[in-house]
This record gives sequence, C-alpha cells and structure tokens, in this order.
Amino acid sequence: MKTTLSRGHGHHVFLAGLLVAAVLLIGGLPAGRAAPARRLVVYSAAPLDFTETLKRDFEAQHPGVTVEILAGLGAEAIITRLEAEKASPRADIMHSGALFQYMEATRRGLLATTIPREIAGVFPGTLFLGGSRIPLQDAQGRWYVFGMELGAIGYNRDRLTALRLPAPKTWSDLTNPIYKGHVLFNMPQLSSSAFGALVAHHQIMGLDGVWRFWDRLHENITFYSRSTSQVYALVARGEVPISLGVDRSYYVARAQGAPVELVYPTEGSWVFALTMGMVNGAPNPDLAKTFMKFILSPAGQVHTANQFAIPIRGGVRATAHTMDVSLEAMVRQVSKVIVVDTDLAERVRAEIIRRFDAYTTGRVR
Amino acid sequence: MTRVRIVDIAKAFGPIWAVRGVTLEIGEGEFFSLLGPSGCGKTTTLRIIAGLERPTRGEIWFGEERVTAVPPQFRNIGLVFQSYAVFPTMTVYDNVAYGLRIRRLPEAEIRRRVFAVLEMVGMEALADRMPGRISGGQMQRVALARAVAIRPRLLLLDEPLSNLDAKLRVEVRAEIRRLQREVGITTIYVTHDQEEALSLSDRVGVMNHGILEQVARPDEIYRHPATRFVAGFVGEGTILQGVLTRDGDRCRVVVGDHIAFDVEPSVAASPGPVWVCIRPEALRLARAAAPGAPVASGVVEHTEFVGPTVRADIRVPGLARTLRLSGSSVDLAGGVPLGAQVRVEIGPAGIAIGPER
Amino acid sequence: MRGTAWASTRRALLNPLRILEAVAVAYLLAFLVLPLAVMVAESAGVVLTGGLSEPPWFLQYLGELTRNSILLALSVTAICVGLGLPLAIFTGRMIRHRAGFTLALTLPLLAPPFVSAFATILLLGRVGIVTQLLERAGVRLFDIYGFPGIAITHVLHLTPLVYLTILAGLRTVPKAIEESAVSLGSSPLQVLRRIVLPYIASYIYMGALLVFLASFGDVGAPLIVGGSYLVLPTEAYTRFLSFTVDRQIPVLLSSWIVVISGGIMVAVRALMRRTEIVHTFVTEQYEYDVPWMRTLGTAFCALVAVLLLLPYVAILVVSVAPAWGPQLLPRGWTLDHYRELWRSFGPLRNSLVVTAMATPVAVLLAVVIGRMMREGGRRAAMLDYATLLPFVVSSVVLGIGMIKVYSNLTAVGLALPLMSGPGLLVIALVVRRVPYPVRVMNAAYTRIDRSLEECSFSLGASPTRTFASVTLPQLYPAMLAALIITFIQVISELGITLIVHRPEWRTIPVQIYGYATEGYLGRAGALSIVLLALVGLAVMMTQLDYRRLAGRLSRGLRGAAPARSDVGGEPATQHSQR
Repeated sequence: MKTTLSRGHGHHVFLAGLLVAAVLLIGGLPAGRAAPARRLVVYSAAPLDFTETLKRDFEAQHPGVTVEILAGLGAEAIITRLEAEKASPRADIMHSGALFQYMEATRRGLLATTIPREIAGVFPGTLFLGGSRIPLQDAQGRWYVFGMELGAIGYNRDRLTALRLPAPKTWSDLTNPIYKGHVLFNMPQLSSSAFGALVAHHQIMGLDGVWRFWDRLHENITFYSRSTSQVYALVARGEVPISLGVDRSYYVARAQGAPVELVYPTEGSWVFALTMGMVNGAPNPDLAKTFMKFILSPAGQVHTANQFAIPIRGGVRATAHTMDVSLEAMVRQVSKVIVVDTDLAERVRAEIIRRFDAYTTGRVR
Repeated sequence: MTRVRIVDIAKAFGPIWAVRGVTLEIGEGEFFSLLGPSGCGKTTTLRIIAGLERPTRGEIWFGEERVTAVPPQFRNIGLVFQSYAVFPTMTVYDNVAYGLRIRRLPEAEIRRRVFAVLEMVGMEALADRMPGRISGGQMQRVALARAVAIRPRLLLLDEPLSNLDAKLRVEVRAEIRRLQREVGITTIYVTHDQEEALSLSDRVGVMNHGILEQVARPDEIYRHPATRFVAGFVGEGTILQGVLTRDGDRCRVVVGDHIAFDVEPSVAASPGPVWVCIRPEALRLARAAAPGAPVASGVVEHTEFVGPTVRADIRVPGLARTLRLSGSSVDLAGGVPLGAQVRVEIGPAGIAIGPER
Repeated sequence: MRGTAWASTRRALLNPLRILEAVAVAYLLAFLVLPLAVMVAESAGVVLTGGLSEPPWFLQYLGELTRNSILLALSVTAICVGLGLPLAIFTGRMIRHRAGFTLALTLPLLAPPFVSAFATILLLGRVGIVTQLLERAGVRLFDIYGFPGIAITHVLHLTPLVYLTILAGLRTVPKAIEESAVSLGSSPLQVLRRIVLPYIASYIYMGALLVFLASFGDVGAPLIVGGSYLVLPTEAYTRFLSFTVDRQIPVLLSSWIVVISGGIMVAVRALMRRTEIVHTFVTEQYEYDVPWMRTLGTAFCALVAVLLLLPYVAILVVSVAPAWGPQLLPRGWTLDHYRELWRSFGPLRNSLVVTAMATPVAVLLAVVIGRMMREGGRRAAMLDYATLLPFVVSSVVLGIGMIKVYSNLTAVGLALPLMSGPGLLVIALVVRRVPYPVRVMNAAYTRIDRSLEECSFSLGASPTRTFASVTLPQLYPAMLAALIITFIQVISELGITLIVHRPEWRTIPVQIYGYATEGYLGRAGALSIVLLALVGLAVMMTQLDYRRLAGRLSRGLRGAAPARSDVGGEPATQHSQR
C-alpha cells in the first residue's frame, strides 16, 4: 500500500476544491440563473408533454420570453400552493385542471379579473355541445376554457377480439357479467378526473341509480389503480381490455400505434373543461395576458388539438397527427354531453369518498 | 506416521518460478525443517505438500500413496498457520473437535480426544472460551491441538511462531517439539529463523531461490555448509575469499594476501580459490604473535554486550569485512575496548570452506 | 508555534477539522433528523390529542397495510437471500469469469425500480411475452397484479443488493481459515456451511436488512403492478398527491413507516453486532476447485443473470418498437423514440448537473463522518444510525418531511438561498444517498494504519495537517470508488426527486416517470436505456483497477515519477511471497 508522508500540494488543492464546492452547495447556488426580464411562471396540471410543447410553441412565437412551467401537479395541489404564496405570488398563470377547481380557486380569491373581450376576443361565453351548454369563460374574466376532454370508455380491440368479447357501447353495458375482471378504473378519492366521472354518473343515473350501477360495475372491476396513468397504459398494452377514462389519453395511445378504440357512451359523456386563469397579483400580468391570448388563438388551439384535446374554436385541425379531434368531429360523434354540476359535486363528495373507500379497500357494504 | 517423498516439485506463478525442482525424502516420525529467507519458496513447497497448491511439475508420495492430485481434505494432514486461523465463531473445544466431528466419531470419543490433546498443550481449562478471549500464544496452542487431534499422518507448520514475542517463541517451540516426540508424527516445519530450525529439527533443508541448497542434520549444516549461501545464512560468520593449498596432511588457507591459517582436513576441498567462512568460535584473543602464527591484527570497530556473551567486530587491514569475535562476558570482560588494537588467532576449528566457482 | 495534537481550546475550536465535523453533523440534523422528527412529532401530537378526524375504518386499514407490507418485505427478503447467497458463494469462491458475472448480476440495481415494474408487466402480465409463450405450451400463468407482481419485481431488482453485500463479506474471510478447515478433512460444502457462513453472518444480516427496507419502503412497484394489494408507502404517496385536501393520513402513514422500519433496523443492527467479527478485507481468497460445483455454479449464475437481465431486454424492445399491443412481439421497429429524446436535452443536462453537485458533497460528508465514526463511542453509534436512516425511511417519507419543514420557510418569506435553483433537490439527494459513500469510507478507514498518523503528530503536525497529508492520500482509492458508487445512486434516484424537485430541474428518472405516466412508453423505455448506458459506463469504471488509477492520480498531483523497485524491473507493488 502506498503510504506517503511527503509534502505535496496536490491533495491540499483537492481538499480545498471539495471544501469550496461543498460550501457553495450546502448554501445553495447563488440565486440560480439571472432572471430574464421577460419571464413567465405557469403552474400547470397538464401532462409533461403538453406543457413542454406549449412552452416550445409560445417561446417560438415570442422570442425573448422564457416560460417556466411547473407541471405534473394536480389542480388541488396548485390551489394549495397558490394559497401558501398568497402574500407574495410567484406564479403568473394557473393552467389546466377541471372547471370546478377553477371555481374553487375563484371562491378563494386566487384568480385575477381580466377583460374577456381582451383575452378571448369575439368568443361566445358558452359552447353548445351534445345538448349541453358548456361555459367558456367567467363573467369577470377570472378563468377561460381553452380545450375539452370528454369522458369515454376506451378498449383494446385486439384484446377484446382475442377474448371473444363484444365492444361496450354504453355505461350500462359495462355492468354485463361477461366483462367480469376485464374493466379497469382508478380512484375518485385520488384523481380529479375519476371524481368528475362519478359526479357525471350521478347526473346521468340519479342519486340512487348511480350506486345501483356502481355496485354492479364494482363486480367487474379487476382492481382500482392507484396510478391514473395505468388506466390507459394497461389498455394500450392489452393487459386489461376496457377502462373508463378521458378520451385524450386514449387518443395518445392510439397515436402511438396501440389498437385502442374509444366510445362516447350514449347516456352521456362528461366534459372535462381544460381551464386557465391569471393569478391574482401575478408578477407579470401583461405577459400572462399575452400567454392566455396565445392559447386561445388559432395557433394555440392547433396546439391543443395536437395534444389530443378538443379545441373550443371550430375549424381547427391538428397538424401533429392524423386523428380528427376537432369540434366538428365531436359534434358528429358525441350524442350527449354532461357538464359537471359543481354544487352537486360538493354535496356528493363525502358519499363518493366513503363508498369508494369501501370499494377500494376491499370492504363493500 | 508416514514417509514423505517429494520428487522434482516445481511451481510457477505466471512467469515467476517460486520452486524450481525440489527432491526430498522425509522419514517416519522425523522433524524436518525447511529453512530459508523470504521468497525462497519454502512456504510454497509446504503448501504443495499440503495440497493447497498444485505443482507445475513433480510428484509427492505419502508412504506408498501418490498424493499429487489428491485434494487437501483427503490427505489427512494437520496444518498450523502463522496466523493461527482459529475459527472465531467456535469455542476452543469446538475448534479442536471440528476435524473429529467431520470424521463422525462418537461424541464420547471426541470428548476424550479433545481433552487429551488440550491437556498436552495445557489448554484444558480454557476449553469453553471463545477465541476472542484468549492470547496469541494460547491461540497457537489451540491451532496445534486442533491439527494434532485428528491424528494426521503428517503435521505441517508454516512459521507458526512468527507472531509471538521472543520469550513466548522459545517456550512454545519447545512445546511443539515435545508434543511431536510424544505423538511421533512426521513433521515439516517452515521457518526463516535458523535458530528455530537448528534447535528443533532432526534434519534441515536450506532453500534459496526455489532450490534446496543443502539437506543435512543441523550440526552438519552448521559445520559443513555445502554452499556459500548456506554458510552465510546459517550461523554467524564472516565470509571472505581465499586460496587453499594442501601440503600432505596440512591444509592452509590464505585470505587478504597475508593472513594464513590452517583448517581441519575434513573441511577442506580441492586446492584453489575458495570462499571461507570464519565463525566467531574460530577466533581467540592472542597475546603474543609468534611468527607464522595464524594471527590477524586489527582495530576494534564495534562492540556489543549481549548478556552472557560479548561480541566485537575487528577491522583487519587487507580484509574486505570485519572479523567477529565472540566470547563469554566473564572471559572477555574488559578485553576488547572500542578502538583498541587487538590480535586474534584464527582456526583451525570453526572454519568452513567451499570452492569458489 | 506548532502545537501538538492537544492544542489550546481556541485553536482546537477553530480547527478546520472540527468545523467540518460540526458542519456535517449540522447537515444531518437539519436535513435528515429534523424533517423526520417534525413529521413524527406532528403525528404523535395528532394521535395524542385525539384530533384524528380519520375515517372509522382507519385502524383496520392500517392493520391491513402493515400486514401486507411486512409480508411482502419478508417474502422478498427470503427469496433474495436464497438467491443471493449461493450466487455470492459461487462467484466469490468457485467459478471463473467472476468480473463478468458480477457486472451482469449488478446491473439490475442501476435502473429506477418502477422501470422494473413495467418490465415485469411486459414479461409476465396477462399478455406478457412469457405468459403468451407459456400459454402456447399449455400452461396458464397466474395473474401478477397484486402480491406476485410486486414480489417478482422486487426480487429481480433487489437480489443484487444481497449479492454484493455477501460478496463483500466473503472477501473478509482469511484464506488460512478455510485452508485449515479443508485440511481437517471437511468437504467444500461443510467448510462453507460450518465455517464461512457463521463468519460472514453479520454481512448476511446486513444484506437482508437492506433488502427488507428497500422492499418495505418501495412506492413504485406496488403503484404499477400492485393491483389491490395495498402497502404502506404507496398509500402514503398517493394520498399525499391526491386532490383531496387530507394531509393527516399521509403523515400518519409516513410516521408509522418510520416507527416500524426504525424498530427493525435497531433489532437487526443489534443482531449484527453480536455476530460481528472485527476484520479487514483480505486480498487473497480461497478457491474451491471442485469441477462439478464449478459447472453447477456457472449454470446457476448464468441462469439467474439471464433472469435478472430479462426485464431490461424487454425495455430495450419497447424502446425500439412502436406501440406494443397484445401480440407476442411488436410489429416493426423504429428509432423514433430516441429521436424524440434528442429534442429535449433538459433532463440530461439537469441530471448531470445535479448529480455532479450532489455526489462530491455526499462523498465529502462521508469522509468527515467516517472519520468521526472511527473514533468509536456513542457518537459513532449515533452516526451509524443516522446514516442508516435514509435506508430506513422511504424517499417519499423523507421528501414529505423536507417539504413540510422547508417549504414553509419559503412561504414565511425567509428567502434562504438553498431554496433557489436546485438547492433543496441537491440537499435531498445528498441526504438520501449518503449511506452509500459512508459505508465505503467506513471500510476504508478500518484499513488505515494509525501509526502513520501518530508519527505525523510526533513530528509536530496538527490534526488537520495530518489528516490532509497522511490520512487523506490513503483514502483516495476509496474516495474514487465512493464517488462512482454515489454517482450511480444519485443519477437514478426517483422517489425524493419527485416530491422535492422544481420543474426546471427535472431529472432523467423524473422524465422517465413522466413519459410512462402519460402513455409514452416507448420514450420512457428509450430514456431508461440511456440512463442505463450512463450508469453502466460508471459501473465499468468501478471494474477498473481504481487503486492503480488513484495511485497514478495522486502521483500526478504530487508531480513525482512513478517508482520502480530494484528487483527485476517490477513496479513497486508488494507480493508477499513466503
């Protein structure tokens, strides 16, 4: 073993270097990179790919601006964070998430008022689709809907064929005993889209009918996934042939080449309105408004379509893939649309959680 | 109790030959030492005999059985290492009983044997101790007991005393010899300490650079070293170059051009250039210098008082090295002060010579 | 005036070493102990004041979770030890090509565990490759969603952990011990069973403990392939990230996890201490030269290596295939996924930067902590537990604790510099992975000869000077090894990163997770392969003779020419050939 008592400066330098690095890093790097003058901070509940391409598209159109998107949070987590930062807001935009969550944010005074005509131009305030009126903006301009997702049943046609099962067409079809062990769902206690689905079921089947439906459907559910993404991934792969979810993710799978089909059940598909709003006290209000305008512009709506969400403008076709998710296509395919009743949602929330706690922990009453 | 026959054993580790052809026969019940400096190949030879290394060349017989290819667990040998290698997770008793349990002896018999052998090494009181709680010397005894308990046909010891302090070494080495005589096992003992080898063995094999330089009884090795290396390695002495002449019965050696002395005829080789080993016992302090006497004059360069003996190094002009004089401290008291001019008489006893190639 | 080691108090206090030690301890206290303590305290408070507004079935739920988690972890541990022990013995004692096998058997550890879960589905799912092949042979495979899937994923992922630990233990058995046993007549099996196994008992326990804690605290596999089999950490995680505002349940669950894991760790450490043998690593190892064992061992190791690597083959296939439906093999091949990766360099850059920052800090901490632990005593014992804590608590729990303590600070307006940039993430990564370099440095410190330091003191050098000039150079090879090992661990860390990171500092594992959860399985697979390649590169570096490498490095730093011995022109390494 080489041992040395010789004097050398090498290891002193080495040690010193480590020390300096350590001190710097234990203390944290001096305030990150220099903040560019035009910097927009967005808290988004949208998936990573959505936000990444959005950032790229916006920055391409507005050089000199950097968009920092904090993605992958649920809308509720964003609300919590905005509350915590109320004294000195750090974010400019709250992006994506369900409409009822934006109403909650409004109630808590977290969103700033804007002039709808300035942001949304000549957009109407509501959209008619599938027999329902979908509100597109808040009267005080606190939130704007920029896209839609619709609840749907997704299935893997190859797997269904292999299992010799017919494709389901309605919600009630799912309760057919032939599908026992072949249906996947996630957890309304954890996922806002699952929760939205449940509220929509209340609206479709009534306060008693919904639990008669779900008690039967529960028999067919193979397991309740704690991971929302598995609802789509497992169907894409064919592990479980059928699941209840939101159309966008099924389109993603299909665009990847998976043999996935979806059905908008005739009893009604709930609409998941992708909403956005400016944060009250945003550091960069002008930039925030520009951002929102962009999203509602034709270019921004093409981006929405590229990301497999339904744009709210008509005549928008996606450029990144060949599937038709335009408004017109939806009008053709979807017979009935349910707008989630937020007051109802509040009233039935506790019961939904209670019942699903029983379902998901294996204890059915 | 077995005869061991080693025929032309050689071992290479990659390009390096550790053992270069060793042939040896060891008799039944003999205590044989392999002596040599570090790196001479003695341990490798031992390990080959034990079966822990495969020889590159050569054969080994235990008695009539050729064991070269037999794995170590079937050779029925006892091994004692320098590091003791006592099993730390077992008590002293279990350590010694280990080999017996492998042989499936009945517990009662095991108990008898274990205590018998522990008594032989004086460890019977510590039978229940764990190895972490006993001293180095005690561990060595346990290792010895363990090796002997299985009644091996051969006992192999690899520098077993090197980790002990000097006094303990002398004690334990005597015990090893006593034990060996009592039980009568053929024993091969590897060491670099020539005092150990000479005092313990029936015969000694001196190794250097992978070959055996000489195999003989200890007194033979000491008095009649076969090579210059053996002369220098075993015992003390000054090695010089000289010239040997024979004149009838008289053998005369000249070193350093002008110092001449007789040597015993038994030691002599053929006339010509020789290496000469002058041991301390060949030198005496001389008073007068009769002409033609085998005397060298020089200055005392260095003295050592070692308790029972006094040693003095004397620088003689014309000789390449100092002569070492040694005598009892009683006799020599005051006789060899530093810097004094002294005369020493040389030989004829206590001198070894061999042809210089 | 140069003082001796016992200088005046003031000088002693300002001693750079003391400062470093204080910093290290403060670091651990602030970022490890405090978050956990706050969490446990809060839960205790809630429980004691009866303020639990939990649902009435909570206790039953907790019981089921606990039972499930423990059962899973125990089963996984048993299987891993059952596989890892013979693997270690075969490669450590019997077969050739051990470097190759060690590399192959270590690879599974390198990818984030949830990636293994996806691979399990690809192979053994209802339409998995293996499942379909078996079906054609007429065998109906069980449904993996639930206990089997998690267990298989964990076993495939964690066996290397036991394997490596026991392999290290085998390297501490002195050759002479086994040779003695063999000479006494025991067969190789007997030697292994009666002598070697008890000798390395503490290593076996350590390996088992590590696997147990890893399995007990894993969030990813149960999330992906767990079906209805509910376990503690996943419930804590999903409830923490859920859209319902309830924060109590995750904190309660997390505290419960800490309590159980802590208890088990203390128990096993006590067991280890009882079976520990004080020793250092030996360089020469005994080899059992039994041909049939060699053949059997090679076959076994090869089989296990194939099994462990199979998931990664599946991932490789996914990365080069368009969507893979329920057929046996994908239809066609494509490099599109890799091309997509090319467009977003962000995560790669972030991972490298963050890892480059966290790794040296962790190793430096380990050097300082190792030195403190060498002194022994109560401080060493406490440091021992403290550096095991990150193993004990799953990353999710730690992350939740850190967020609780440190995000509040930002909200209050205390703009601590560590909140900007990747600060908190780097700190979290250091804390989470510091056990690894600490273990490496501990082993290195035991090999250091104290007498050299004592010489240095006697020559008048201060403790700091001695440490820098005498001790540290002896540690360089180990530090290099620690750097590489820590790099591997940090760059593939997911759990705590998910919770603590800021969006602009998304790392590769987080990106993989993002892709996977959004349905871009192909891209997830491709990025996983990239990560594996990066990590594999680092692993190959550990196979280098890093002692020689470090020797050259330090000689280079000193500016001296390499030394040569006089004999035969060999380099100045020692053989002791006796």
